[in-house]
Amino acid sequence: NVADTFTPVLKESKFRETGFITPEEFVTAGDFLTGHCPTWQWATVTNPKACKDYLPADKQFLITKNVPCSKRCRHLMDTFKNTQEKIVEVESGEGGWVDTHYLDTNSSQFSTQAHEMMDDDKNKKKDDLKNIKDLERDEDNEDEDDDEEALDMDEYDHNIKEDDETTIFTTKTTKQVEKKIEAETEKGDQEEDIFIPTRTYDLNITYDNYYRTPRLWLSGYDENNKPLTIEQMYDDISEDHAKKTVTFETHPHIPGTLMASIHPCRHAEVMKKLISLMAESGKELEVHSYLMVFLKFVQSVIPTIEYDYTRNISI
Amino acid sequence: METNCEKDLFKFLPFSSCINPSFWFELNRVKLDDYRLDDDFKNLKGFYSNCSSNDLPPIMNFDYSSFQETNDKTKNGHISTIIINGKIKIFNTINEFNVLDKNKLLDEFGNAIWNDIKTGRALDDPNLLIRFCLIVFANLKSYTFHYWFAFPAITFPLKSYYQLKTNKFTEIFTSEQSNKIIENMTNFQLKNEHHQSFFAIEFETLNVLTVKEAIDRHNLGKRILFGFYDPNSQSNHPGWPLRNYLALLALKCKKTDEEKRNLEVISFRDRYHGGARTLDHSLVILVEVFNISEDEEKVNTIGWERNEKSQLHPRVVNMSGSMNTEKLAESAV
Repeated sequence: NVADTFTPVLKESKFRETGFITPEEFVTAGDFLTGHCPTWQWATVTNPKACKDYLPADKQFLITKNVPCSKRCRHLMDTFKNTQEKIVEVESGEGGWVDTHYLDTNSSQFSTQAHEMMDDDKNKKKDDLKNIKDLERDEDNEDEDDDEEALDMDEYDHNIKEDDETTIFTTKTTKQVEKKIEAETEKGDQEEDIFIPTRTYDLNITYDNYYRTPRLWLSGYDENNKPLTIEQMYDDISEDHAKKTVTFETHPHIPGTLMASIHPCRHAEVMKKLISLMAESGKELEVHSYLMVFLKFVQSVIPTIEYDYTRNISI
Repeated sequence: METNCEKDLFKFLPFSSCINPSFWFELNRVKLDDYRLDDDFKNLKGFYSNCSSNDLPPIMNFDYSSFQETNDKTKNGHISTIIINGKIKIFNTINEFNVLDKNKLLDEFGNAIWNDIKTGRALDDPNLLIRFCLIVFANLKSYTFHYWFAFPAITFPLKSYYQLKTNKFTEIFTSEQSNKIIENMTNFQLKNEHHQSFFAIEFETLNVLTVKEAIDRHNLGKRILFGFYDPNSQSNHPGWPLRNYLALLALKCKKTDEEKRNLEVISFRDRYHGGARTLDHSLVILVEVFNISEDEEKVNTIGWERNEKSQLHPRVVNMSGSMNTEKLAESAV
């Protein structure tokens, strides 16, 4: 990225006035994030070409893996629309980047919903099963090519000896899950390992030297850990942002890798707005909490990806 | 085989592989630049964590850094990701990939583990108990990769482990004791050169011990809970790493006159949420193990990963959407 390379590195801290952070502040905020939410980790880059010299070699970017995403955004939005029409209108009226009021209502509603589902595990399983079925129907056409390929492979008999009876299979296909749930219901409340297949995401936060803000990157996987296409990932990005703010670009630290990213062009502006909102209610944002607030605002873009950040940051 | 209706057969959840797209980019690069036509086994790293979310089975992760030789330990005291050393073999033709005797290959890996258990090498470096093997055929023209992971586990076909009693961690330890264990555990991990998947806790002192020390103390009659970083998060069944661990313990812990004896294991699971760490969903399991000897005849290895249809077949991934430079140039306009 030429622009990134030739942009001078920001030295002077002005994050409260501008929303921009310096690489040093990025490291401070990253240390705080990894300390409080150890599911986030610093990634080391050994390839010298992919190493930015304004960041320490062992703290180039942040990474978290296997973040579950059990619901599609549009399913969430459907429920949301039915119950919270008013707020949706406000949101669409603003048409802007972030509306913290919407964000809070949204996340709290989602978490109560999640809670109810935890209480009623079987309902959750059935619900999710329905969602999976919907999705499978939706994705039937897309999958056709892959299936053909898989069939070719299946023709070769690898003649593998079977596993033993003490191996639990993580059942992945809808039919198997269905069968298992039926079996479980018949057996009563006996606990068995049933994993409702769920999508997962790996998330990266890099420092974007051109926009002088953190930047979030996403790689999604389907229920079988197969990489999602960008179109499939749009299901997990809120409608307002899907085509506008998510782009497919070269990752700065992993040469050759194209990855979905939330474009950082308006991050500084939003961060500035959030910082002044906090200031109005008498709270001063310390630089180490910058990424916590960043992750909270990014959640409005990807509301169903359940990554960790300290939730006691209130804006 | 003895049948016993009252006891539950001990069951394990296998690893699922999860490959970040950056892995295939890097594989592409090393195949063209470094390995070329060389199809010998090479070193490869996998990563697993004991703090995964409730909805997920045990996962072994692979990404661009799997090919890096350096074994950097993160310096910020983060101890939830374990690095596992395995092997990769990249075939030059699909036919070679197909005709490979996969049972034989798996047995070779299993025998290596069984050997490390017998010689005591696994006592000095218990991480050797977890290994994997990846075979790949990379079609670099169409950006398709045929691949298959094996996570070898040694079994003794005529004998079974039984899960006698399963307690929640919180039923055995108070929160005060739990905090002490977390503290000792952090020190234990910092002291060791690599993060250890296997350890043990002496009940009396709450000291965290190496497996080797723990077996000695156990054989002297101390109450020892043998712990391991459990990649599984749900329910009463532990994840795959326990299989080879139990084989090690069954062989090295002092035998009694009985054919069977009981051991206590801790399925050690972390969870971080909103800045707090908890071990609450860890398990303490009383397991019945059988006697085995070093010249055990019936030793078997299992562990090829099933594909998305739960069949014992390889998987195929097509990366042309993000690797085909022509296609990308078009979509970038």
